[in-house]
Amino acid sequence: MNDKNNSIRQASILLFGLLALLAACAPATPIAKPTDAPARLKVNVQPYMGYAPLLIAKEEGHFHNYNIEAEFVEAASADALPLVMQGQLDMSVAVISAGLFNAIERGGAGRVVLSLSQWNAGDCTSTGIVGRKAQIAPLRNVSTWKGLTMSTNETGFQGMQGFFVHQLLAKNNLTLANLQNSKLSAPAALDALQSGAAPLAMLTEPWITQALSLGYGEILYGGQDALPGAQLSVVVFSDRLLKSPDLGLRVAQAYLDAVRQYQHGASARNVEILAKYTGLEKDLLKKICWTTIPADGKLNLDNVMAFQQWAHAQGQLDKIVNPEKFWDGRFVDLVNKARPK
Amino acid sequence: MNLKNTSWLAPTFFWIGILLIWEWSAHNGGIARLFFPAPSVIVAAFARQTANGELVIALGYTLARLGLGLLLGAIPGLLLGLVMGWSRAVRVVAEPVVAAFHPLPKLALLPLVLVIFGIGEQSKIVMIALAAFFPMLINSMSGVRQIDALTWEVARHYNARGWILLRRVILPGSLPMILAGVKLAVNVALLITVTVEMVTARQGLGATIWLAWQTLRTENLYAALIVIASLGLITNWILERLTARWIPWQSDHMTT
Repeated sequence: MNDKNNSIRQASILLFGLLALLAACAPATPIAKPTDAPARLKVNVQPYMGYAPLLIAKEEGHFHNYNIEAEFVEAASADALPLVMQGQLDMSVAVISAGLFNAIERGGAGRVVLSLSQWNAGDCTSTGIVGRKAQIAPLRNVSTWKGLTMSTNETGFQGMQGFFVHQLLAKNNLTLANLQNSKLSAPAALDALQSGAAPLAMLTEPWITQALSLGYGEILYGGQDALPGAQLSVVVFSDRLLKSPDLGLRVAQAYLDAVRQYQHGASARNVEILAKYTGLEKDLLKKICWTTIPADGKLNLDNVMAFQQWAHAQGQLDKIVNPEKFWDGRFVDLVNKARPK
Repeated sequence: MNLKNTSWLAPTFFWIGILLIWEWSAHNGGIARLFFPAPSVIVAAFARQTANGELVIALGYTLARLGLGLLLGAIPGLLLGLVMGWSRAVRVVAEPVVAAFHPLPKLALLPLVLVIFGIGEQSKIVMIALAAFFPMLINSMSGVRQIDALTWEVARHYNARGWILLRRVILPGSLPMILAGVKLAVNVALLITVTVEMVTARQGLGATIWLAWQTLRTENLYAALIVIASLGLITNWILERLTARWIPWQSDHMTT
């Protein structure tokens, strides 16, 4: 009996030992189990249409679907860019500007990873030059603009809007120096348009629709007319997201899911979400032009390089930055590969 | 050993040390060069922008706006302040209005000022004048009001009125406060000038700062800040000299 008991005891010890060995050799717990704590992200937003995919992603639960908790931080795009380059923000919208490329060239750690707004041929006008209605006939001829005042937002003739005006003027043997520029808030620009103090206004939506409905002006040129294919804004990831491929991929998936929803345009749900964040009337949101945002998240690199050449010639850019240095297409490629066409 | 002659050594070495640490850190990745470029890079940017005239032109625009704004804001502020300090009747009527408007953040008025005065230089000058007006008014009014009652009594006894009263009693009695008001007005006006230029102008030191930030050329931003800081130092030095000359008993040289 004793021998039998000893054998059972030895077999039990061996069995427990084997089980312990098996447990030790078992694979580690997967990183992105649904029960994991959500990844917290600091995301720059502003209550404008240009941030629509991010607003939709949060409100519609696209971030949540990928186990991400997005904390919105309000900051102007120009102020948010340094923060994302420094890692204080994880993700930011950036307009295509000399500042973006100078920041990367000078060692900023962020990279462009996704496309946001573009102007494409045949689009409605989401950014354009509006002329004063009372002077509209002569204003249609760009060569008559010499010496006139054009109001713009605070960026003036920097960035893509400067490139846009430059292209129009160049075709008529004029330069940016031939125009006066007044940096005005949109309501002040409408007032200046009406009074004639600035008979030309570079406006975006919803102010274009407002200017037209008030009878202050008419659209002279849309961005899509002068610069078809222009890349207006992009999404920039911080070093943290770039170095966390899994998290970066999940953020890209959530963002592109939101872009797909955005592409339904002024659907009842989209209007509801954007009315909530932007404070605009639902009727106005249904009327305005919704800028194109490509569903595949890819950049128009040719246009970005053309912009850089112009900005460099204008003395705004230190040097032209190659796409390999500012564009990280890993996330977009992975998402597009996994998705049905 | 005369300590007074060597007292500059410690702060000088301290600041040189700070600059050397900054320079070293910027070159060795200790600090983000994008936001804190090395002092040598800032000096080079300052020299380049001075040589090509960019900073000089920007300074010219800023000084012109500042000068005009001060002229149109500080002088009416001084005159109204003196009258309000002198006349109780005027004070009773005007003081509630001043009390209501003075604390308003002047920049919040910018959209309204733009609509009323237009988008050109006028609106910028009006903003600067508004900023200079209130400190000047309040200080000159307080200056008159703090003149000793006995002085007023003596003036009345000698039947001093009008110009004589102003020249012999009011101006000398309120001068220390008026000069303090000038200092405040200049500093606040400089602040508003740069801020308004950042928001609305294409030229001027504020516009230079804005452009430097937009293009993330931070060395240009620091170069413009050096000019603004120097401007503040120079104007304060001039006002100190004026204070020392006109009211030597109030000068810093008299204090310990």
